[in-house]
Formats: sequence, C-alpha cells, structure tokens
Amino acid sequence: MDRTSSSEAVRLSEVRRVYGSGAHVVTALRGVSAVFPTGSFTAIMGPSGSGKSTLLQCASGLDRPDGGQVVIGGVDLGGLSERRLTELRRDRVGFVFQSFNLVESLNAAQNISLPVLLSGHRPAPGHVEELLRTVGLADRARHRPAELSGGQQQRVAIARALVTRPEVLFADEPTGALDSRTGREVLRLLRQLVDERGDTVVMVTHDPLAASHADRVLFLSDGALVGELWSPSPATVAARLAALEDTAYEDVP
Amino acid sequence: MKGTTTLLRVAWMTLRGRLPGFAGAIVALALGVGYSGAAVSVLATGAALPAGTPLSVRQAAQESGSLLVMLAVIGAFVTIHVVAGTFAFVVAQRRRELALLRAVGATPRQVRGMVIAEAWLAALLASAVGIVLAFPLTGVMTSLLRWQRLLPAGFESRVSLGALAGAFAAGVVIGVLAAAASAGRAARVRPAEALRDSALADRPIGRGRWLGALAFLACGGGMLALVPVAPPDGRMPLTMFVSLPLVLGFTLLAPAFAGWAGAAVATPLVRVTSATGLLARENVRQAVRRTASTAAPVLVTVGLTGSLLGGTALLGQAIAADFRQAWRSDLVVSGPGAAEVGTVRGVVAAVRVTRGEVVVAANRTERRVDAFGVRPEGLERVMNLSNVAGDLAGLRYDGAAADRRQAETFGWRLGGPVRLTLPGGKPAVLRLTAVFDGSPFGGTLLLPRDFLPGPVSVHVAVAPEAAAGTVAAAIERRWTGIHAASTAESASAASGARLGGMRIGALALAAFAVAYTLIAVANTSVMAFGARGAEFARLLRLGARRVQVLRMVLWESLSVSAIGVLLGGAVTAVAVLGLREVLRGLGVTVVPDLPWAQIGSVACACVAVVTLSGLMPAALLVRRQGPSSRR
Ligand SMILES: Nc1ncnc2c1ncn2[C@@H]1O[C@H](COP(=O)(O)OP(=O)(O)OP(=O)(O)O)[C@@H](O)[C@H]1O
Ligand SMILES: [Mg+2]
Repeated sequence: MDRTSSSEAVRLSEVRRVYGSGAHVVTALRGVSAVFPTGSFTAIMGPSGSGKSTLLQCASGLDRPDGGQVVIGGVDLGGLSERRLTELRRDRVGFVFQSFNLVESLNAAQNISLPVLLSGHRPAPGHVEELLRTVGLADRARHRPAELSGGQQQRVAIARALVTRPEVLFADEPTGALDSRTGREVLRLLRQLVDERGDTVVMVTHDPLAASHADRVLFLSDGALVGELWSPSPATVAARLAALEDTAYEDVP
Repeated sequence: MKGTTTLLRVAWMTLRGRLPGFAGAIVALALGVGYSGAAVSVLATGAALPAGTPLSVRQAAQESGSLLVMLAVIGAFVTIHVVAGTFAFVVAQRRRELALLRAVGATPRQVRGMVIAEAWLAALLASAVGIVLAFPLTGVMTSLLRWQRLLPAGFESRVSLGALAGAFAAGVVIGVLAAAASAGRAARVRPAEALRDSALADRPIGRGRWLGALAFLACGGGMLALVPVAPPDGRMPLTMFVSLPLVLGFTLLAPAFAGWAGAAVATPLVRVTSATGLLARENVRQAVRRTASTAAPVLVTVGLTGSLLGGTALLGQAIAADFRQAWRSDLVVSGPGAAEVGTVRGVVAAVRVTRGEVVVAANRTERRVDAFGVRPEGLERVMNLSNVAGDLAGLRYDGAAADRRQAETFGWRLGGPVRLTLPGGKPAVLRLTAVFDGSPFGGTLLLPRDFLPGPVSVHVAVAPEAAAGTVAAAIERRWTGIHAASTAESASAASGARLGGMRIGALALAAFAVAYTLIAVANTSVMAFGARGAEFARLLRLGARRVQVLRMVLWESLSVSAIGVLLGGAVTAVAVLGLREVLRGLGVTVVPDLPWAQIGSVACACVAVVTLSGLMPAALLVRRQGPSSRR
C-alpha cells in the first residue's frame, strides 16, 4: 500500500461551518486551523455542542465546510467532485460515528466488508474474521445490527473503519458506548495502529482516561480551538477540561 | 461499472430486509399490470369478434371498449402515482442508510445504481405477479361489464398473449421510471446525514417542484378550457381526465401545504388533550414530507372520485340545458295520434322529429354524433337556428344542415358532401345545404327524416295567447295513449338516459380508482408508522403509557388523512367549479350538484384505512418494544 510521503496526514486552515439559515443560523466552527501529523494520535475534547463532531466530519471529507480548506494527504478536498471525494475517503480514511453506525439489513461481517465491496474488490481471505477477532466479536459475524448490543455495534463499526487499512482514522466517541474493559481494548487497538503501522488517528472523546492514550489533546470550545496539551495524563486533561467548562458556562449570561 | 455485482448484492440484501416497504410498490404495480393486461384482453376480444357476430354485440363491445380505455388511462395514472410515491417514500425513509453507504465509500452513482437495481428487481417481480393476476381479472372484468349490461350476455373474453407481454413490459418500464426520480434524490443524499436522525430535518420544497406543480395546474386549466371546443363525444373523457394533472399539481404542492394544514387540523386536538395532541401536531408539522407522502394517496382517491363524479354530473346537466336551449318548442308529443296534433287549437307548429346516432369519419377518427331527422316546414318555430346560411329546404331531399362549428370540425363545406354511417351500419352521402349557429354545445346535426327512421316525437310550438299546459291537456284528452310533456321535461328525460350511462362509467372508474388507491393508502400508512419503532420506544422510556403513544398515532393519522381529504377536496373544487365557469362562458348555466354521499363515503373510507393501518403497526411496535426495551 502506497503511503503519501507528506508528514501532514490532515491539515485544516480556517475551516468554518454554518448550519441552518435565517434566524436559525448556528456557527458550529468559526475558523479552525490544525495539523494532524502522520503517525500521530490526537484526541479532541470540549463541551457538548462545541463542534467536535462537525470538526471531525469536515476533516474527514464527510461534510464540506462553508469556508477554509481541508487537505488530506496533500489533496485539497475543496476541488474534488463528489465522486473523487468519495473515492479518496473510501481508500484513505476510516470513520467511526458517534451513533447510527451500521446498515440494518446487513450482518456484522457484511457491514465490515462493505467499503471494500463498494470499491469493487473483495476482502482478502480471513481479513474480516481477523478484524472481528480483533474487536472481540468472532462469534457474532452473522448477526444483524438489531441483534447486537450498542457496544458490539460500535466495535463492528471500528472493524469496518479498519478494513480498508486507512491512513487516517477518525473516531467520534468510539468508547462512549463501551464498558471500561472493552473501551481499553479499543484504545489499545488505536494506539497499536499508530505505533506499529504509522497510521494517523483523530478521536473525539469526553473521557480524560481515553484522551490520555493520545499523544496530544486539542480543546474545542464554541467552535474554536482554545488549547492544546501534549503527553496528556488523565489528571491534567481533567483539570484543563474543568477550567474550560467553567469559562464556557461563565460566558452564558 | 466497477462493483456492479456488489451493488446488486447490496440491493438484493436491502430489498430482502425491507420487503414490507417495497411490498406496497410491488402490490400496486402488480395490480396495475394485471388490470391493464385484463382490460386490453377484453378490448382485444371485442376487436377480433368472429365474422357473423351480431351488430349489437359489436357495438356494445365498442362502447365498453372506450370505457375500458378510459379505465386503462386512469389505471396507468394511478399506478405511476402510487409506485413513484412509494419509491420516494422508501428512499426518504432510508435516507440515513443511504447516507451511511455514502459515508463508507459508495459514490453517488453507486447509490443511484443501487436504487435503480432495486426498482428493476421489484418491477420484474411485480410484473410477473401482475401477469398471473391478469387471468382471473379478465374474467372478473368481463362479468362485471356483462352484469352492467355494457356487454351482451354471451360475451366471453380470452386472455391475449400480446396484451400480457405489453402489460409486462409497461409494468417494468413504469416501475423503473417511477423510481428514477427517487434514485436521483438518493444520489444527492449527503454523507454527513448519516450522523443525525434526519427524518424530521425536512427542507422546504424546491423551485423545480413549484414549477412542476404550477405546470400541472396550468395543464389542468388548459384542459378545462378545451372542453367547449372539443368535439361533443370527446368532452366526457376530457372532463374525466382534467383531474389527473390537478392531482399531480396538488401532490407536488402537498409538502408546502402540509405544515400549516397540519397545524390547522391538529390544533383543536392540542386544546383537548394533554400531551398527545401536541406531539401529534408537531410530528405532522415538522415531518412535512412524511406527512405529505402519507396524505398523497388520500389526495388521489378523494380528488379523482370527487372530480370524476362531480364532473360527469355537471356535464350531464349541461347536456340537458343544452338540449333545452336547442329547442324552442313548448311541448314534445309522442304516441299514437302524435302526427295529427297540428290540428289542435292553439298549436302553431308541429314538427315530427326522429333521433339517432350517426358515425362520422373525420380526421382519421370515428365520431359519434347525435342527429335529428326533420322536415324543413316549421322547423325554425321549434328550433333555435340563428344565422342560417344556405337553404334548409334541402332537408326535403338529401340535404343535411349542421351547426357551423361542427361542420368546420368535420371539414364539411356548404354545398359539399357529408359522408356518414347511419344507425344500422348503412353508409350514406348527403349534401350540406345549410349551416346555422346552434346551441352552445353546438352538437346539432339535422338530416332528412327518411334517413333516420324510428319512433317519432313531435315538437309543438304553441300560440302566444294559448297556455302550453292547456294545450297539452287538450291533446291528451283527444288521443288515448298519447303523451305530451313540456320540452324541458322531455329534455331531462332524454339526457337522463345518457347521464345514466355516464354515471355508470364514472362510478366504474371511481370504484376502480378507490379500490386501488385504498391499498396505497394502507401501504403508505403502514410504512410511515411502522418505521417509527425507535421513536415510540423513546416515548415509552420517557414515561408515556402505551395507550398514550397509540392515541398520538390516532391523532396523527386523523390529521394526516384530513390533510389528504382537504387537498383532494381542493382538486374537486378546482375541477368542478372550473368546469362550471367554462360552461357558463358557453352560455350554459348549471348548478354544481356534487354526489356528496359518494364523495363523503370515499373520504371516510380513506380516513378509516389510514387510521387502522397506522394504529395496527404502532400497536405491534409498542407491544414488542415494551417500556423496558433497549433500542
Ligand atoms: N445539521 C445541523 N443543523 C443545525 N445545527 C447543527 C447541525 N449539526 C450540528 N449543529 C449544531 O452545531 C453545533 C455543534 O454540533 P456538534 O455535533 O459538532 O457538537 P459536538 O461537539 O459533537 O457535541 P457532542 O459532544 O454533544 O456530540 C451544535 O450547537 C449543534 O446544535
Ligand atoms: Mg458529537
């Protein structure tokens, strides 16, 4: 698999995203700039509604920003047609959503193979089984999403995000629905991707313990980046977060 | 295309997983295919009657044939409407799933291809089922037509292989085309929509939809404007079809109306209930597209029946009024001794008139025209003939006289030949010796009496100083068995018979449309409410009791069907009032006399079906979810 030599997996410059129109306008991102170096593990934290999910969607090419620029592996997403964008996303990016992850009519194994099938290929023999084992669901391959628990669905979604061996993995609260032991498994898995394969991981989380697995934490508040923390520990993250939420609530009259 | 087999597999898997959603589209399409296969089979049998078949059977087959053609047009329309609506609905309900596919790497083209592939599968399946249905339907249709005396007792239809092949192909094409628009919409789904519960995130309707709606409404208006200039035998189909573009127009506009119409309908409920009315109103108002698509089949049902029945009633009245305006006689006398009423005191003119239908070949089509057999003597005292050009005396020999507009339509010139087929099938060539301005509908054709044998009625003009009633009484005293009625009365009797035929036709059309659309109504309602299990579970978890959830569903389905009935009523109003204005412009004044009972029962049936088919899946979901359910 060819890797871009660029040392920047993803770069955001002055990204703006506005929802709605007229009286209902919500500015979810007000000019966010950030670089996610290749082979780095970044956690994004911030109060609810601060724009974390929106940031992830724009950075991964799922959504088009209203202003600014997103570059993935040296390619400016702004100039891509819907089809090229889809193909780039399919080949280089993996995504785990906050919720609503799986196609209801397909079973776990089918859901995991879907991105590969959509690109006109078949998964390598044993690859899907291996991924299922990795996320601890080897015995659930033939189960439909409706027959899986929320945490199990989330793990299937993680396996699906990994099936194309993406260079960048975006995960929106991947451990939010998991018990602490499975959550740790997932985090270890993400860490492994970064350490052993040199992949790039960007993860949104509310959990200081989860964030401490990352190399760096970015803090978002009201659609803007307000801080950065390297080599985070649960305690330092929690302290920063507390300070952030205090100021956030002080803003509210 | 890369990954085509994958897409087919995904399409097949999602189709299998969502058969209930597709079931409606498949049932609708199968019924349409079966129905048109049967109708065309009956038509084909009628067209290929063996030599030696009595003429009356041939004519009956031909007459019911034109009814069947109208049925087929309405059937095709309803099929396309329902199938397109169902597919749009299935796509709208799957928005999140489609967005998810886009998010994990499906290109817009792949998503479009997948929806089209599903449409192919569904259309092939439905058309195959429809072919099977065509066999029993042909028998049912034939016996219905025989029962209504529209076909002679001995008539038997055979299923035509050509008709089946045609219906199959048409079914597949209609199915795939009906899904095309939805497929386009599916391809435009944005991947980020996968991340939110977007059933409520409706956009207002776009400009294309507005333009389309206005174009259809204009088309309906144009058809109304055509009614007076159309040849008399084309007016009835035209009146029946006016409602089709109107229905389409209002269907396209429905999402724009659904919001405030829903609010208006449901607001009284908010007053009298605690929370369920409020929930219902907001659901109806926020999810305008869902509301509109659930209301759409109701709109079609009510709009079609209302305008079909109302329009034919109006047209029947107009024909009677027109007859009254064509004749200025005071009395119409028939029976033994009628030929001698000229000798009665107070009678200033008595003209013997026979009546029949002739067939005119014009512009490559055959037109049936009402003709009167007369002599010129006293004619202008019993008929309103103004601006006569040429000479009515020609009616003594082989001359014909025609309304000016009608002569123009048929390409007849004063002094030129008039070719027709007389009742009984004998061809005849006459000369056009006079033209005149006839009644507003302008359908009058006058022939020498010898060309139209048959029972004679005598139109009588009464002297100004004599009273028509007295003269009529005098006539009836003098000859036993004679019948003298005022011209107005006999006009409504004469048009009554025709009106009866039209009513049967309109009722047959309406009954078919209703049976068909009620299936669509049920299907959409089941789909709309059946897909909301998660939402109901959420309400239960919030502490709602099951009966409260069901009550909310009840209010919602009542509001939604009320919206459909309102919009269908709007279609009816536009069609019927428009037709009245058109007729008034022609100088025919009619009082809209809507068949309220029939329209009302159709509307009630719709409301009942929406409510039942909403409550049933909701009840199942609520029971299955239970208050402690996880998902
Ligand atoms: N489709 C949308 N339409 C309108 N507003 C939206 C939409 N999506 C997000 N928003 C608004 O944008 C802001 C940012 O939303 P976002 O989902 O990015 O927050 P978040 O940081 O992920 O929150 P959480 O931690 O609760 O998931 C919020 O105020 C939200 O209400
Ligand atoms: Mg979020």
